[in-house]
Amino acid sequence: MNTEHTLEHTLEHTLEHTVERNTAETLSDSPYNSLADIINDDLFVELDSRLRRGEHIDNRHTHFYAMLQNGEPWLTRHYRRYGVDLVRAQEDFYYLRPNLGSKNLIRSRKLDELGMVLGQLLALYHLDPEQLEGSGWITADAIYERLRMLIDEDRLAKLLDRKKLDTQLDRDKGMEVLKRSLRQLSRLGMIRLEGIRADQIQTQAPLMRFIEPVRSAAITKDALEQLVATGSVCLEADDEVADDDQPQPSAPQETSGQDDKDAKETTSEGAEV
Amino acid sequence: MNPTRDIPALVSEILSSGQKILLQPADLAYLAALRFWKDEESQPEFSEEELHLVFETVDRQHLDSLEESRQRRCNDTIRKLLEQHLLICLESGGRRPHAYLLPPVSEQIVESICTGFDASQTALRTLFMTISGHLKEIRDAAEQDGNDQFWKLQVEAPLDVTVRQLVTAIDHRQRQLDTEAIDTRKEVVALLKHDWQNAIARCETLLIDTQERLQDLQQLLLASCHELRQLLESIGQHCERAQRIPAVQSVVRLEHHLDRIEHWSSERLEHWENFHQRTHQYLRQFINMDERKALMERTLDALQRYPQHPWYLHCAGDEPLTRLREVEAVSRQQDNTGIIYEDDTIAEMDDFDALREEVVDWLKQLVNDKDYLPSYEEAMSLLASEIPVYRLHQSAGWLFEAMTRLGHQQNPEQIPDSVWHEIMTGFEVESLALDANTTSEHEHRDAALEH
Repeated sequence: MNTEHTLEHTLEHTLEHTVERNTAETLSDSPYNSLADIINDDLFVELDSRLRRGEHIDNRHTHFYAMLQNGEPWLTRHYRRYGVDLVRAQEDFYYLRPNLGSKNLIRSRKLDELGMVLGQLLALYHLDPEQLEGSGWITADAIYERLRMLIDEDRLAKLLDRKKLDTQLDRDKGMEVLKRSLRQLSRLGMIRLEGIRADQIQTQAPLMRFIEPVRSAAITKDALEQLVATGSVCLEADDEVADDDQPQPSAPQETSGQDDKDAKETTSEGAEV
Repeated sequence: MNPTRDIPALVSEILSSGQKILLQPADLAYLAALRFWKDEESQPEFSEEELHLVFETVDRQHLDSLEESRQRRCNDTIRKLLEQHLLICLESGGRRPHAYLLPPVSEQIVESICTGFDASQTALRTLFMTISGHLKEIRDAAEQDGNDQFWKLQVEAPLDVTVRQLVTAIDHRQRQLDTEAIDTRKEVVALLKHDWQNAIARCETLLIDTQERLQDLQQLLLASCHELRQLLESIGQHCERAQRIPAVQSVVRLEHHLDRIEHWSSERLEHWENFHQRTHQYLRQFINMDERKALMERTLDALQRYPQHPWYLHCAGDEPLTRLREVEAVSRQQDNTGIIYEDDTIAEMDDFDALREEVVDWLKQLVNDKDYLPSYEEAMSLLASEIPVYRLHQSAGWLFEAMTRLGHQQNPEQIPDSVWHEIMTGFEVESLALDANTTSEHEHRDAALEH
């Protein structure tokens, strides 16, 4: 207990030092002089809500991104108090990562299996120079077809909440599940959705979170466990952290009306940037 | 083509005429060779021998072409082109041999499909300068004014024919730029995919060149369009003054065309900038192509081995703050509010006085008809059936005022002096009664509203 306390204390101390140093560095060109300045910024509430909801903020969100850049040292310390880390990724986007300390005041959740498979596939698209030709835009149909090519049919059917994927009806229903998952990724800021039925997807840099385990070498248990230690991923599907209301693929309350609303939300978010 | 002709008429005419164009690669090549020949020799006409000569050079390149049947194939091709009006035969009545001409349509086909238009800055600048020169002449002519024939020859025809064609030529060049931009994109992607040496440096150069070229062109387009627009505007003014309707219409059409050209340019630049930015970001993030390729392979591997190594990304997932009550305030009493129809009712301030007069006259008429001053409620309900609902709020006040006046004139002794009670700051109620028996709430309320 005592050791833990000391460790925590040292950590905080080091962090404060870093903050002070960073503060001194950024003071000259930052519009903020203290955490209070950032919180008083009219945009803070929106930024804070987005980060807490799990959104990844990249430079598409010009104002939010600038706020994070300018206020990084203060905000890092601020969110640390809630038991989460404000992370700036290698590809230049920010997000809140739940850390595994004792105090977790901001709820966290994890993606489901379909979300993970889709995320990795889209990350693959993002890495491929071929995406540049269409400025990174892909259709939902193309994603569906690619999944069929890459994944064994029974497994894909299970992921898409179907028994089989033989008929057009199966395909349509499967597509609905797929789009639901895409909307979730869009809410996390990992893709942009556009089009009347949100069937155009543009990959975004935050998808690179899906390549974290393979950044330096092929996927291994060790690599994954290292990431688990940072709080970035977890290995159990029914982990207790995932106590949220993440919609189950078969959840009957997810009506098409809700889908439309979701689609609208994400589309307008896309337009906003 | 006559621009005023309507689409259905045009469609039915084409359908009934049975015209069609059918060109095989060999025919296209022949047309292109003819055009090239024409440019080289700078002669507009071909003799029959020349047609055969050109055909021979094209036909020789066919691997499977037989020499003995060449004559027949040449005649067939010429006949086919003549039937489709892609080649014109000028008959000389037997004194001289026939002469052949390439019509503009054939030249345009060759330009659009085979050679492409010259979309360089010089070409565009020249076009703009030519248009501007023509427009200046037209403007001077329009300013000078003249008889009908003068207007037709000096203003309307040049606007419709020369300027229109030149502006269309700019359009064609813009299409050409579109194609080039698509090709550049493909080239960049191919470079990055095939992992060539120095691919990044070459991509950079390609991107920067294209970007600069587009920016130059946009500046040129903006500046030139601005100048042309000013010229068109002054031509339009002269035409209006002289009441030359067809000329005014031509000017408007040309203005729209210029709008399209400008719009195209800004849109394309934006598209290109998106691509440019994304490619740069890509180059920055995945600078080392070997690493990027290896990373892609590892990602694919991880995706396929996901069932053996499942993992789940952890994200913050706070719910939005609970909203305890609706943000919108409860709306005030229904009858105190009314819709203001801005466009309709407040068309002119004079309308108010006219309406007020109308209400007063209507009341006088009512009193004459009934022989007594009706109660406010009665008058109001009668008025409501006569005027639109959205005017009722205004009219209620005027009616009340008119009734008070009328009542006062009839029975001055029964009307007490007006007494106003302040019920809150800036809000007073007049206590009034038209006669001793009725003190309706409506009166109070309407008086308050009026105030």
